[in-house]
Amino acid sequence: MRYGFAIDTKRCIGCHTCAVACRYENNLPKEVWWNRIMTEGGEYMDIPVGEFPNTRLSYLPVACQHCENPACVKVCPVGATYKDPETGIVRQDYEKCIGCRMCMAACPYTGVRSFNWEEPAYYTGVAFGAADIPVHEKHVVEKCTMCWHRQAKGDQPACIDVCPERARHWGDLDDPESEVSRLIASREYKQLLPEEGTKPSVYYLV
Amino acid sequence: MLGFDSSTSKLTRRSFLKAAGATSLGAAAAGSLGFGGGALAALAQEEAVPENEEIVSTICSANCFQACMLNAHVRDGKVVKMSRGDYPEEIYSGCCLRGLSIPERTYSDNRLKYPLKRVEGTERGAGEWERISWDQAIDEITTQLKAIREEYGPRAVTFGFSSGNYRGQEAATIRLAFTVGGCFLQLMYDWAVGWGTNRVIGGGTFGYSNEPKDMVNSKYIIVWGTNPVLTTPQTWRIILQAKDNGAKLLCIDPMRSATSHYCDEWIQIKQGTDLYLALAMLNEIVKEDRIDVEYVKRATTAPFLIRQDTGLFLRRSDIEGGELADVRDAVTLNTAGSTKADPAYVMNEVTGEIALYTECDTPVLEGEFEVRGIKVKTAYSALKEHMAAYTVEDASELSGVPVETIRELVDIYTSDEPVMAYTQFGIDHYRGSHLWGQTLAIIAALTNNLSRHGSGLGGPGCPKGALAPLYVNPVVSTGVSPVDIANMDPRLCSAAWLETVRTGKYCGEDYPIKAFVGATGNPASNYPQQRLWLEDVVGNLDLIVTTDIEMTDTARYSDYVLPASFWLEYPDIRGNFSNPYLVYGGKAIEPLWECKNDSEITTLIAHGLGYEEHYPYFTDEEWIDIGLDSDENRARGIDHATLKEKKAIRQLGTEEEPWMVGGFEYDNEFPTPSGRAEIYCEIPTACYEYGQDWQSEAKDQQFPVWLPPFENWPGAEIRSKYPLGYLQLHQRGRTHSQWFSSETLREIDKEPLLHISRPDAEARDIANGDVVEVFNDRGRCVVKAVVDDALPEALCYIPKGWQRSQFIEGGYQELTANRADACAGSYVYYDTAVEVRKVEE
Repeated sequence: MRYGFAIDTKRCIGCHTCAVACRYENNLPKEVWWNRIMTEGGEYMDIPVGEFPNTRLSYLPVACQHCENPACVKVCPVGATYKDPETGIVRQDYEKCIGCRMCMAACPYTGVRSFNWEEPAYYTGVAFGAADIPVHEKHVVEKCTMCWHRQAKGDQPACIDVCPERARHWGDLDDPESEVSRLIASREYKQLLPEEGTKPSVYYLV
Repeated sequence: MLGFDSSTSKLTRRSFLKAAGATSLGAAAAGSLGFGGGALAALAQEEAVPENEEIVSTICSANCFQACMLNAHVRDGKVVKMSRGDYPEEIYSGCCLRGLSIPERTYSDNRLKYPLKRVEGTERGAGEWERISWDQAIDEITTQLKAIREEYGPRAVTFGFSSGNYRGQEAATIRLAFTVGGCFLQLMYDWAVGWGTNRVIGGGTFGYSNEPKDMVNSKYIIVWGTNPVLTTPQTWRIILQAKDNGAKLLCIDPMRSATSHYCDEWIQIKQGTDLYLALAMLNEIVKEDRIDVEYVKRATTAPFLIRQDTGLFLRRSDIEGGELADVRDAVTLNTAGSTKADPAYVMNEVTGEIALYTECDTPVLEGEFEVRGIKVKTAYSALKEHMAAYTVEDASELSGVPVETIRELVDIYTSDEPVMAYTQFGIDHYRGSHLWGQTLAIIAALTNNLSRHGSGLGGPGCPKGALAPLYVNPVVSTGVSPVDIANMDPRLCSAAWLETVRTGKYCGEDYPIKAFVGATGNPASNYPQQRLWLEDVVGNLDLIVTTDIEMTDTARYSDYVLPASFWLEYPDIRGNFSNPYLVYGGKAIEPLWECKNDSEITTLIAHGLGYEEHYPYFTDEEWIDIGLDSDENRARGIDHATLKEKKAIRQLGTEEEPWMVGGFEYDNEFPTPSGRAEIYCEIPTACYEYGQDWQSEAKDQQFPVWLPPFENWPGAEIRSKYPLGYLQLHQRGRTHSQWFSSETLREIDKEPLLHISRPDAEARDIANGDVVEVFNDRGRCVVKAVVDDALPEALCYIPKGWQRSQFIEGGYQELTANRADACAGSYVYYDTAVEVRKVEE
């Protein structure tokens, strides 16, 4: 089994709903985003590339790619970053993490990991999100967990259902009958930085 | 190829390398921080915490028109997150970043928590507040209101409301005005296109669109002057489904909007010329009779005979006399059903004689005749003659749309396939936009694109989105007639009211306005020409009271600020525009801090003024009972208990037969004087009267005519002084000014930016991040600029909704003009010109 995402960039309108859902589900501290929406090529959000009127505009939601061949796992000195053999999900064991951030340096997908330099700070006094998410701690590297806590209950990651354009799909890439497998088989797709040899589990349908 | 840095949403090779480098450096420095305590303390709680959540079904109640049902997850008495709620129909179910952020907004430190009073001796807007008790607030406010009412009369107090709380409670303030007397503000936005379509298909200013889900049946969807990809993502989902079903998507916009990138074809048009393009399309259609003749004869007024002496239809009473013979006033002739009561004549093709339209299936479509000495002409012939002035060549020259593209649009409309023109309020915000709506509706009528599945125009959707009238009328729910209601002063149109505050006159009458009591709105920010509010209103009134949940511009410049409960804190109901459902929003938590909901606050004010009997205290649940108390609801099986249980009930149409304008709900008629689509408006009038001269324009609008915008079009004289058209575009992170301070959304979208085209930026030596001043004769603001290649030359914008405190100086709404189209009664926000200059630092 290898869980992964298929994200339809023809339907994605860069609305940030998935990113915001992730943020609240996981009670992310101030300025921490595990899933961010990139405006492809533009220097600012929502501003197209090219010169008027010959412009292009598209978006890429980018989070941990849960690589089949993850660069981060190889460099972690304490085994805190590891690939779950059952699901293929790349996980981060906060208890083992020593905060060395080797994984952040090794990961070619800059920015998908966050490191809490200070005590995590929040905007309100309410702990948002699921009851069973890990508590954010200072000096720990974090990233998209593929909503591990939800899978235990049979739920999809929090970023899937909320998508207003139904652009996000999640499932078992090893199962040829799964929705994600069928989409990947029937559509052209791209992956981020294939030359890195990381074999991401996120497929961007184009 | 890919990468991004962590501070902005960039995605470039360069920033990737930069960010990667920074990360490496960070790693090298890590050793000095040691082994963080987090490693030992980190909790793995996955199995430890049992589920203990309650789900409360609620509804987002901003006025983006999308009306998402949401599930509030409550744990230990706190709402910890929202998730997507589900309508009975999957296609209407969705959510967006704003709805998901409601819990954060609920608990935010930005909430108003206690009644506040401006510190005595400080100026309005100075931001110095004293926390006071509710008792003190209500006592002081009502004491001052009583004194003002005694000295100047009830009309010295103006009540204001808007769409900030789009649910039943919104009516509390109007109800207060109706109970105690006084005047209240007539809103002046978003009616324009609907005022034009109303002349053709009736239904009022919001009744022109078919149920949105019917768009899945469209073969062509023309997204015209709106940007659903950013502003109505739930409706964009329906449009995407139409695309999946094979529809072609076209986008007409002066900008390379986000939506234009997702459509099959983008048609660039110069701003302010949409009306001319539409007029030329209509001309092209009638010139060669590319119309659905059978439908036109049956369902429109095209065959009706127009008297050449009066310009009115030849009616039965013209020939037979009777008591209706002298009834030719504008009110009667514009009333639904009036032409059925006194039917117009057509010329019967078979007999060669005139016949009542209600009795003739074979009318002549074209021709001039003489009937008992009266010269008459069919409406269709008159239309053809009238439209001939609007050639595709002229339209092309003015609008920049190539002739062949205009013909392509005509081909689409005459293709026999259903065409939907999707629009919201972009074009609405220009002068003359009602005539665009009138033209589009006539085009749709002549090509059978009104009531056919997959066809239509508009986007506001279902005309049941408005508030239940019973909420407003105190007589119905109390059985008691308030003493003042007979002398109830009229609603004052906001465009004129702003001057009334300064002059004390409204339409020649004395209106010594001394107090403003407002809720569910932010007029200081959302009314145009902001300096009028800041100077005339703030400078002249004796008392300003604002109820809100956050410190908006309006609240900031008030004397008393009352903290309102937010959506999760009380139950309520809401009707929707973007779908046909009435929805129950449950209460998830108790009101926070000292917040009270709108009706509690208005009840306290009413009682303070001595109206206990007329404005009794009702519980939240009783308000819902009152709101639902109608025969129409009973007929649909809608009552409080059922709605609470089902959460959402259709108010219109069925799942199988979505609601259609002129469809079965109207017995296959339009709610117009004749019951047909009226291609000729006998006596055009104005949407609102507030002392303006509308007659001189309306008299020429029986058929649509070209009426140029005030400032923002290629031919505007003001361009020599202020060369840039200026828009205030809606963005995904705010609804009007709501969510302006929401923390998570501000991380995505940090500050106001002037978006300027590349050539305009280069001409002014402006680069990304430069500080610029945007100005005209009405006002100014100072902001950072960004060069935006979505913009053509001579057009710029600042996203809507930012508050003054978020600008370096001034505010974006200072630049717009306090004026409306004379007939359409709607502010022309986008019909604005400015100049921009770099601020040297």
